[in-house]
Amino acid sequence: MVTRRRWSRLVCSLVLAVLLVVSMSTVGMAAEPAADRLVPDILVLGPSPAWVTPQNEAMLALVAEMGKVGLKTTYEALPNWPAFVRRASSKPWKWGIAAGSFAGRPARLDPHEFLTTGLTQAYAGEGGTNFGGYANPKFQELAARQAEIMEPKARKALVFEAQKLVADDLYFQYQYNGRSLIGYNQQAWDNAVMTAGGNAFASITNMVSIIPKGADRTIKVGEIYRPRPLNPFNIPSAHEYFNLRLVYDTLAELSPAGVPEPWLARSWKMVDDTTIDVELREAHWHDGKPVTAEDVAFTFQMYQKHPPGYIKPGVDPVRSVVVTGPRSARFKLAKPFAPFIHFSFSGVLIVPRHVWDGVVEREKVKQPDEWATPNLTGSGPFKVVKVVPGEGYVYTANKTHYLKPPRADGLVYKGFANSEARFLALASGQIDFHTIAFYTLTADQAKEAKASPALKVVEARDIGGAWVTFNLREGSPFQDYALRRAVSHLIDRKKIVEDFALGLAEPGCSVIAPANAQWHNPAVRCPEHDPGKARQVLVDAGYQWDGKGRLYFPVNHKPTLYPSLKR
Amino acid sequence: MTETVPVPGRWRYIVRRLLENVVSLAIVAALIFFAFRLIPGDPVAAFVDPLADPETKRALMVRFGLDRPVWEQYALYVKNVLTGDFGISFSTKRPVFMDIGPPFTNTLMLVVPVAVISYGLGSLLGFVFGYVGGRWDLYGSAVFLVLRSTPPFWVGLLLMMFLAYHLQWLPISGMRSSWTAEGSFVETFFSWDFVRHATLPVISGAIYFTGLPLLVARGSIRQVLGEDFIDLARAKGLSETALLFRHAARCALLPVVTQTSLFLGWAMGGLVTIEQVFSWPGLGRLLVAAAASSDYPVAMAALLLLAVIIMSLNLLTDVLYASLDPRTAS
Repeated sequence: MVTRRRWSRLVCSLVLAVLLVVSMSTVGMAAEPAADRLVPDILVLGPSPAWVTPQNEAMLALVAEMGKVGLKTTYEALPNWPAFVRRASSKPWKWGIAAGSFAGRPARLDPHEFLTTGLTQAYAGEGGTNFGGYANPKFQELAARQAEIMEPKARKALVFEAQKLVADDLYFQYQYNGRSLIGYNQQAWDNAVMTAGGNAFASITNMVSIIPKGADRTIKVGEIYRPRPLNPFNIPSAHEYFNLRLVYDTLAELSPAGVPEPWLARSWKMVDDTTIDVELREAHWHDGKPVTAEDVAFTFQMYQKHPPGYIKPGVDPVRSVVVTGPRSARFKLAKPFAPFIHFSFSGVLIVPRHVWDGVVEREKVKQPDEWATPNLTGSGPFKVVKVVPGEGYVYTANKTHYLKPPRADGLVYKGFANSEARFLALASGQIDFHTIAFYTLTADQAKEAKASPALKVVEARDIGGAWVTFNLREGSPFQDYALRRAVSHLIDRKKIVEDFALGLAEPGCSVIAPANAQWHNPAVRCPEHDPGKARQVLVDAGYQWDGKGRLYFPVNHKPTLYPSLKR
Repeated sequence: MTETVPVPGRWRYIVRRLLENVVSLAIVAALIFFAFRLIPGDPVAAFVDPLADPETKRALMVRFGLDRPVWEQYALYVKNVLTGDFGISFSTKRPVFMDIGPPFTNTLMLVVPVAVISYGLGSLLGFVFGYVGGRWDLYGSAVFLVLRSTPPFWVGLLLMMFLAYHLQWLPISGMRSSWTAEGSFVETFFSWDFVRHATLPVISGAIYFTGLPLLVARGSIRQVLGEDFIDLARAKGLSETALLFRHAARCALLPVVTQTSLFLGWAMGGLVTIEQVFSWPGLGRLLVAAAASSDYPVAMAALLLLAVIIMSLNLLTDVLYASLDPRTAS
C-alpha cells in the first residue's frame, strides 16, 4: 500500500514536471509575432461632442472596444462638416475609420444621390465624399446602371442589389438614422401635413394645406437660422430653398410620401427614355403676366449657366428644352436618367423670363446671384412682402394661385439663434411651426411640449444619419475584410440608440435608410454587436496577439478587399 | 526757461500715435487674414451642398480666388482693402458692406444703452461704496464682483426663462416685432416695441458690465478722498453730499471716462454671446454665422471694423489725455 502510494506519487509528480517543462517550452516557442506584422495605430476621424453628440459618444465607445481586441487608436474629434471633409478627404489619406453624417432631404428620397456621392469613383478624389475610396467595380457598374433604367421596378432590383453589395463589402454602414421631433401649435392650425425626406413641415404642401383655427390667419414659422437675403440663384442651404419654394413654383411637387406629382405641369409624358413632353397649367406670375413654356425653357438655360448646388442635379441631365406651344415643351435628356422627374421637375424653381433675362447686363453684376435687391416675382402660393436679412421674411398669400391658394392669409418666417429661444417661442405661441426635421426638439423640450395642450409633437424619421466608413486605400489595414468585419461586430447599435441618442434614432445599416420605404432593401444586414465574434473572426483569419494583447496581421497576410468579388 | 514748447510736442505725440495705430492695424489685418486661412475646413464645403460634386466646389474656389496661392490672395486682399473694396460675401454674394451695415447699427443700439446704464450706475455706486466704506462697501462690491463673474449668456437665458416665458412680460427674442412692417430708423429704434425687445439683452449686458466701472470709480474716489483739498472743503463746512458729488466725484471721474471709451469699442464685439442668446440681429451674430460658414470676406471685414473702432477710441483717449495732462505726451 505504502509503496504503491509512493509510486503513484512519483508518477504524478513526474507527469506534472513533464507538463510543466512542456508548457514552459511551448510558451517559449510561441515567440512574439514579428514586429513588422503589428497592426499599425489607427486614426479614427469623427465628430466632436458639440457637433454630433450621440455619434461622438458612439465613436468613443467603439474606440474603447477596439482597444480590447488589441487595436491601438487615436480619436480625432472634428468640429464641423467642412473640417471633416478637409481631414477625411485629402492626401495622404492616413486615417483608418471615418465617422460622419449625411442629412436626409427630399431629393435624397430618390436613391441616386446616396448610391453615388458617397460610394462612386467620381467622388473619390480630394474633396470628394467617397472618403475611403470604395471602388468595387461590380458596385460601380450597378450604381451607374440603376440611374439609366427608367422603369421603376427594374430599377428597384438594381438599387436593392447595390445596397446589399456595399453592406456585404462592409465599406459604408449607418450606425443610426435619426428620429426628429418637430412641434407645432395645434390650437392655432389644423390639417398639418408632414412630408417624408427630412422636410417635415417645411413643404409648400403643408403651408398651403393648413387651416387657421383662430382669428390670426398668418402662419408664423421659426427656425434656427440667420435669414439671408433671398435670390433664386443663390441657395446656400435648405432654409433658402424652402423660402424660395413658397414664391416660385416647380413643375412637380413631392407628395407627403415622396412621389413627384404634377404642380405647375398639368401632366408629363415619357415619349422615350430621353424625351419627355410637358403640358403646363394656366398660371400667372405675381405681376399678372402668364407663365409660358418660354419661361420654363429660359429657366433651364439660365440655371445651366449659373447653377446653385440645390438646382444643379435637376438641370445637369437636360440637353435641351424645346418650346412646342404656349404652354407645352419637350425635354431632351443627354442620356436616360431615372431620377430626372424627381430632381428636375420637383427641384428646379421656375423663374420669370421677363425678370431674369439680361439681368447681368442690366444690373451690372458678374452673375445673377449677385443681384443684391432682386425682383422676387414668382408664380407660387406666397408673394414676398419683405426680406429682412438677419431677422426674417414676410409673405402674403397668393389667393389667386391656379392650383393651391393658401388657406392662410400670410406667412412670417423668423430666424432664431438657438434652440432654447425657438422652443420658448413655440411654447408661448409667438411662433406656430418648426419646419425642417434637421433641428429636432431635445428630449426635454419634447417632454414639455407633449404636456402642453397647445402643442403637438410629431416624429420624423430621417433618411440620412450617422455612418462609419473604412479606408480602403493603399496602406490601410482595413483593406482586409476580416478586420472590417471584426470592428463592425464591435458597433453596439442598441446602446447607441438607447443611451447616446436617447431614443431619438433607430439602428441603421443600409445606405438607403428604412425610412425610405420605397427603396430600402430590408434584406440588408450589418454584423450584429458581439465582441466574442469579433475576436473569432480575427482568429479565423489568422490574426495573432502578443503577450500585451496587441493585434498582429496573419503570417503571409493577403487582405481580401471585396469579399463579393472573391466568391 | 529750459522748458520745451508744449504744443509742437503734443502734435508730434499725436502723429506718432496715429502712425503706431496704422502699423497695428496692418498687423491686425494680416493676422485676421491668415487666421482664417488656418481654420481647419474646406471653405467652400460650408456653403455648397455637402454632397456637391467636386466640379461645383472647384468652380466656387476659382470664383472666389481660393484656388490661388495664399500670398497671392493676401496681396489681392491688401490691395482691395486699401481701395475700400471688401469683396462680396461667400454666402449671400452681396457686397460685404451691405451685409455689415444694418447689423452694425443694431449692435450700436444695444451697446449704447448698456454703456449708459453700466457706467452711470457703476460709477455712482462705486462713489457711494467708496465713500461710505465698511460693510456696505464690502457686500455691495462683492455682489457686483459675483455678477461680473457670471457668464452673461447664462444670466440672459435665466431672464428669458422667467421674465419672457413664465411671466410673459417681455418678448423672448429678436430686436422688434415691427420688422414685419415698413418703418423708418426713428420708428424702428425709438418705439415702445424696440424698448420691450431691448430690455432683457440690455439688462443682461448691464449686469455683467457694471462691475468694472464700479471698481474703478470706488478705487478712484478713495484716493481722491484722501487728498488735502477734501479736508479743506470739509473745513469750509460743505455738506457731505456736495463734497462727494461736486468736488470728489468730479476728480475721480477721469479714469472712469477713459474706461468708457475703451469699453464702447470693446463691447461691440463683447456682446456676441448676448446677441446669440436673444437672437439679436447684430454684428456679433453676423460674425458667428460668418465664421461658422467660413464666409471669410464678411468675417474679416467685421473683425477689421471692430479693430478700427477700438483703435480709434484708444487714440482718441490718448489724445484727450495728452491735452488734459501734457506730461503723458513727453
